[in-house]
Amino acid sequence: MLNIKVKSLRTKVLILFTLSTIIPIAFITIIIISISNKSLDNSIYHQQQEIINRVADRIYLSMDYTRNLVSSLARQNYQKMSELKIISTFTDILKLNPDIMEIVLMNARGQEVVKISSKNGKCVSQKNLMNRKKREEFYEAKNKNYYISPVLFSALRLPYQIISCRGNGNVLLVKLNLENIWELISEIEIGKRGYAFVVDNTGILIAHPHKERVIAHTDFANLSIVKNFLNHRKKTSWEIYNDEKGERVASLYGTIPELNWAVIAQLPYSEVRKPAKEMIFQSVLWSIVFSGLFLFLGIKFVSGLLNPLAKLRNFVGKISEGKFDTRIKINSGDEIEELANAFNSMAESLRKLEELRQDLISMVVHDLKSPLSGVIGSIDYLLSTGKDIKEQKEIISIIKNSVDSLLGIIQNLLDISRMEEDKLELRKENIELKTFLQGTAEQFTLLTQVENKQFSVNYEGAIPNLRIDSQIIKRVLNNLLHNSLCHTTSHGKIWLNIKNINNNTIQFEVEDNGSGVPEEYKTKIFEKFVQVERKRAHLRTGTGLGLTFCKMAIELHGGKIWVESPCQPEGAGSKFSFTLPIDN
Amino acid sequence: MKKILIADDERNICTLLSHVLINHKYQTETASNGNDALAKAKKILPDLIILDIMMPHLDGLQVLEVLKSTPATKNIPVLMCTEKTLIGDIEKAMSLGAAGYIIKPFDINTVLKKVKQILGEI
Repeated sequence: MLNIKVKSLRTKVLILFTLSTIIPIAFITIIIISISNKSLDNSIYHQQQEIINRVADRIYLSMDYTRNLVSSLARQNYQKMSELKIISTFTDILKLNPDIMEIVLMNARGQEVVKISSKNGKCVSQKNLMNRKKREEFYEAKNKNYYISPVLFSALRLPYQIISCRGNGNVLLVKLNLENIWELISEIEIGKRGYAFVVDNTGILIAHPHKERVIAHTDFANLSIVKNFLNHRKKTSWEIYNDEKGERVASLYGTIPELNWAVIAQLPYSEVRKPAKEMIFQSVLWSIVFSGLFLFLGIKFVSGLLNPLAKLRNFVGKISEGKFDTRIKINSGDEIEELANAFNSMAESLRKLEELRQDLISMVVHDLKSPLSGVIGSIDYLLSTGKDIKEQKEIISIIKNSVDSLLGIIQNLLDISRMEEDKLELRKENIELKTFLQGTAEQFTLLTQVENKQFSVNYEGAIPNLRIDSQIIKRVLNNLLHNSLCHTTSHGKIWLNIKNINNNTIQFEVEDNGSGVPEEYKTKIFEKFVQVERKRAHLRTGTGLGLTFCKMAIELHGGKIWVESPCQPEGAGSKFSFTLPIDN
Repeated sequence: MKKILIADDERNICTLLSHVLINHKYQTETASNGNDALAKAKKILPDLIILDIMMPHLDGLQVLEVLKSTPATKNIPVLMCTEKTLIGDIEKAMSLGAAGYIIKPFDINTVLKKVKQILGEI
């Protein structure tokens, strides 16, 4: 079916269909992908950002809480409290705040006075009291009222912080375990494999879902996201880099106020792209499905269009081979069906024309052959035996008549074709009508006498001279009279009436009491090729082209010709009339 | 004297046949169409009818059919006359009961011979 020719309609329509399907779908797909891609990225980005903010807030809040706790504890008047009271107060605090590992009360010289540690839920009053006079946590708090240490690592390599605060003549210090941040971090989920971690202001890892990394004291200062943080470079999009395992990740960070730490959310890049990838896959899949569907419809449509066209082509091919009986049937209900119907009526017209043409040929051939039969028969007879002069003359006059009639037929044919091509020029002359008719009538009377028929000529009104082509009008009259002769039985009657109508028209009537003209043929007999008796007998009426000739000749003279014939009873005869204008 | 009816719409052929047959001591009558031929056949009851097939109004075959179905004319022998191109008509005419046929253009002596054969004179 798909025989590909670039110029074929099928290929053209298919290409058009393909393009008109694929281009918009591809266009829309690309737009959808780019828009959704952005919004997807955005939503993931903001999700990450939100997590970071939440984590940062919680860390900050817990820090803030501890600081307030420390500052309120520091403001107590410890000089008036017994040591036992202090220990019990601190113990209560430790029990209420599991993050606090140790509370230390120092005097104004940095000497530890009370030191309570919490270990595995048990509070122990430490006896190894030391002097922190030269340590930051003491003099910073003493001078500045308040101190928060950087992240420190215990002997077990666990990170902690020291917060100290100056009170009434003494300094209070707590060691804050940062494990609660670990717990917070381990609970955070970003996508499927993403996680968050916290680094301090030097890039040292404080909290990570994998505790061992923190214990290992990992320095992330060289990680590009941490570098951004350390250099205070804030980006509005992800930082994309390969993490320590070599996997491509998308990260962003958020700063924890005051502490100057960073919370970093890190998501494998493949996971970031996954929804977009899935969407692209879906879009492409559906594009292909729709393109396929439209292409299929296109092929159906084109076939629906082209199959009837192919049918039409075959049909026209048959017509040009001369098979005019062929008909085509297309039920598409559209213009092609109309076209097919138009072709059918064309074929029908051609068939009729062809029939007429064949009729005409056989008619002409027959009309020419009949008189020739007479000529040949006569000549044969003349040649066969010795005839006396009188008989020879009689036979020769038969030959003469036959040849005359042959000539008449040929003349009719020639004149018809010349009149059809407007090439016949009338040789009009002034004719005295009565004299002119007398000659014609005399010749015809002889013929009617031979066949025992009656013929009479009647005049009505004044008969003026006419300006006509006498040769042509004479042949018109002869044609009509001979028709009447052919269509009457013996003892039939034929009349030629000439009437003056209102002094401007002469009407000629050739009337007989013969078999008449059937109603349906009254106009058709003047048409070329159509004769009263169809089938075979029509070939012998000799009227077909004769009447056509009469009609054309009379109309060329500016007159009219018609026939009147009552159909019933049979034999009521017919009356052929024609008019000629007087003043031409 | 035997009577022969000649029916042919070509007047000159009627005239020629008539002339020749008269010379051979037959009495002739002519008709120029089917109706005329039928009317004359019924009226004069000829001994032989020479009937052309192609004629106006009633063609020769129709005339033949009527003649053969009318008791008065049933036994009149009919010699059909037609053109070579319409040979199918001849077969039909023979099946309808025609006594013989001649093909146009004819040799007048052949016609004479046929006429005499049918009339049983040779």
